[in-house]
Amino acid sequence: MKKRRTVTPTPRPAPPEVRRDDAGNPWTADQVMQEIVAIVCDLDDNLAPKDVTRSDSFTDGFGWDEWFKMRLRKPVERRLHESLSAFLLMERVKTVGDLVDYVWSSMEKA
Amino acid sequence: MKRWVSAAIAVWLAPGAASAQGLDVAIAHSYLSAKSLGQPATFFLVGAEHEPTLSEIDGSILLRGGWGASGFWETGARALAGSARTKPERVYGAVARATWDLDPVGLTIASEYEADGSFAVEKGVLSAELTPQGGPRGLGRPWNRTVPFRWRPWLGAGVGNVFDASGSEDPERDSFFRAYTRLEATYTPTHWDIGAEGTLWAVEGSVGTRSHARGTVGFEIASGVSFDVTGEIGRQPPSFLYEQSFKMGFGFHHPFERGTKPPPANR
Repeated sequence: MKKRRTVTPTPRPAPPEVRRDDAGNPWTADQVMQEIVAIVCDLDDNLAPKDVTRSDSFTDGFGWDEWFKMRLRKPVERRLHESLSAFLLMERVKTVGDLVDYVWSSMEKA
Repeated sequence: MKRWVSAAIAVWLAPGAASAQGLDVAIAHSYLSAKSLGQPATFFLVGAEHEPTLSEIDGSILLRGGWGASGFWETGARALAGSARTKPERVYGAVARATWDLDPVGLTIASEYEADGSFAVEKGVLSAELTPQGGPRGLGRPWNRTVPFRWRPWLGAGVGNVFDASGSEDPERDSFFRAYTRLEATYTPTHWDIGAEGTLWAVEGSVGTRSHARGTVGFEIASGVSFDVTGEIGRQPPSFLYEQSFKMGFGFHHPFERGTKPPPANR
């Protein structure tokens, strides 16, 4: 007698989580990362997107001083529609990943 | 007493630590500029044969907290003292200031009390200073990917009052106005910190300008600890006495930016 082959369906990868910024625009975590990389590269023409990773430090990695780092506030507000306090940016946001995580956590679940 | 005017302004400027978005502390060379805050507080021993060993400490401590969305406040004290300096050459100061991100510039309003070592010269200064956040190549960021050189200019002005009689070399008497420009530059190859900082004051009074320059070469021995060689020349507040020195010693630096993850936003 022929044995019937049992086929176990491979689970589909879950769709990426989508969140909304303060203007109601949808974002995935990857899109937030890409937008922040674009902002960083727009501010510093020494950097190309391929040079920027989550673990890069703004001060030790990119060599920015804290005043230059402050320039991140406005583009983040304009392009990702999330506010970022100057104190938080200067004191707590050390790496690109810190900024991505903060902006992502600021967004509302869609 | 007039000196309490400064203290009162200081209290006013240190706004609700209450609005606390947390506090952070830095220990560094001096709170007077970003460059100085990036440099270590230093302890030097000066020795010579048949002479007592003298010491010098040059450092500051600064507390920082958030103030609204675009600002933060700072308060702290600094000392340039030790047995290697005569009393008139020593400098003590305390500051309360607030800074705002006014993209494309940063604005700092500060109230500072400054005194010499014998408290023969005591001044209170209310000042404002500006720095561009970005701009030409190297401003606040490395010159390029291979040359870790950066620079930053400052422009400031202050009005003040002399609480106590000024020294003979001090052009500031009674009430005064001073404007200044400061340029700082840093070259930071791995483990090294080579920096220079120059300030030019235009002082109200019979003498037009005073200047001071400082250069430092630091080698990082361990995290936060360095071996430093420092040279200084010129005149600086409060007494504007002429100084020229070259020193070697150890530096300790605890910068702001704890590097902790930012708290998740409240949602």
